[in-house]
Amino acid sequence: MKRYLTGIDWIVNSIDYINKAQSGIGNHSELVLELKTPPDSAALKEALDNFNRRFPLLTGYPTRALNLCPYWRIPQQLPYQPLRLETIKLSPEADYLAPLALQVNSPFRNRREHLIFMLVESGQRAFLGMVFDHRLLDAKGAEAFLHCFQQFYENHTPLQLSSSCPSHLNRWTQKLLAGRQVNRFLLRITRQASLRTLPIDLKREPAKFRIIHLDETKSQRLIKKAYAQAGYLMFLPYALAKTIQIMHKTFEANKIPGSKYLIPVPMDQRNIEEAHKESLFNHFSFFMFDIDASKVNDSNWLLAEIKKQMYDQVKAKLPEAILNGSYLFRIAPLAVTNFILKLMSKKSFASFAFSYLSNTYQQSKLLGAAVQNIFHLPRTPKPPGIGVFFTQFENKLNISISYFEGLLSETQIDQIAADLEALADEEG
Amino acid sequence: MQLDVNEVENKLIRQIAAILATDSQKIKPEVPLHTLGVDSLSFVELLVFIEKEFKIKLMDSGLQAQDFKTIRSLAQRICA
Repeated sequence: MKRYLTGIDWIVNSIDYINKAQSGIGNHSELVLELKTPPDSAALKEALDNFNRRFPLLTGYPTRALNLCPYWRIPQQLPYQPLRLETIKLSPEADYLAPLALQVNSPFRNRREHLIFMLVESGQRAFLGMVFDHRLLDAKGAEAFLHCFQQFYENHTPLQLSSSCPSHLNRWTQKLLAGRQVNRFLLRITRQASLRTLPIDLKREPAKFRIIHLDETKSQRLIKKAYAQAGYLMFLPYALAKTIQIMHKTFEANKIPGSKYLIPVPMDQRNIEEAHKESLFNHFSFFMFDIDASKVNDSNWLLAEIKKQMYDQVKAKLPEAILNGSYLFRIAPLAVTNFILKLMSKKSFASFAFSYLSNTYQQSKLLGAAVQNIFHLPRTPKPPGIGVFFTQFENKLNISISYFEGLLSETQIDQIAADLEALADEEG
Repeated sequence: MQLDVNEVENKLIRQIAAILATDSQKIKPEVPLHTLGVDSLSFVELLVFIEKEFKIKLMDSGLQAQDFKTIRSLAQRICA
């Protein structure tokens, strides 16, 4: 059985290939659920096992069909491979993040493993980490996947995780025109001025994380501030503008050359119900924000510029063009894509990564344990090797900073974290 | 050309239903957009639709909540 891969899936596979060539570790992230009480680990293991047996595509792997289209092979005959679940008990004062970070910095054991679970019990509370392979799940899909897992556990009803996708070996004119639109856009934003990027050692590991948990009061204050300054529902432009200003301080302090920032922002046009129905594989596209570094400190200009670029890209249907145009990449074997992306990455396409994801996991419990919070530990691809990721669970915001060791000093990362946290203060 | 508020409301409801991939019957004009599941991206998609349909560009208008929070207030803003 097979599930054809889309163009975006193939680009994610290429990033995975590049990451493995650099460090032996693929393109992974970790989703973490904070639980009020530890769930029964034996029951969790059994539930994961039942789920895994029901969906063999979870242990599939990418390959290429005779029509040259890459696809995800869904094994029917191969020996069953159980999901890994590790359990760690910590004292309440111990750092719960350390074992979770260690897990996301570890390679999968073979080509059929794409998920690893870790249950960290810390006093009365617990953290369930799910390390996921981005070839199988994107960030929104990972939350939707755990939502479906809980639904499966509660109802024991046949759950459909949609795995169908046509080969898309048609409408070539549309794909070529989309590819041309994206190519022209990328040439325009990369030719005009030099891009600011932090110097990165591609072999340097591991990825490190800082997590800022904002309580409900602070989160609502920050959202209210965003709506007042950027406009109703304009949280993403506001959070991006503030992140650019905070990162700009660090770039200035490190005397990073270049005259502009380029920030790709993944966006997923699916609503929550669609994400729950099709949680597997990759469904996102990108906005690309091109920001003049000399004007970043002018908050009014920066907000207006981000909103203008977002509006113009939606109007020009650039995110759809990226989705359509990316199908052209599929013909290239991973080694060739790797070569092309390496050439492209000499002239990097990102100063830092940024994303905002809200409320896709919509269950109040996981195996009977109340879910208190959800946050992500994404390993930012290199380059740029550093990113700021906003996520929302119910009415609470979390901000994850992901960076590779040595990219910035720990004092500078502390400062970035402090500045991000201060966004929710009453003043400013 | 004078726009009719009810007609504008209906067009907005149909477009929001299309953006959110949901049934237009479920969308009430007096309910705040964020409770319907509209976020930054889908809101910008709606503003692009408004520009194409009603020839009004609202993105630069400040997007104050009192004018944009519900389909009703948005329709009134478009017709003003």
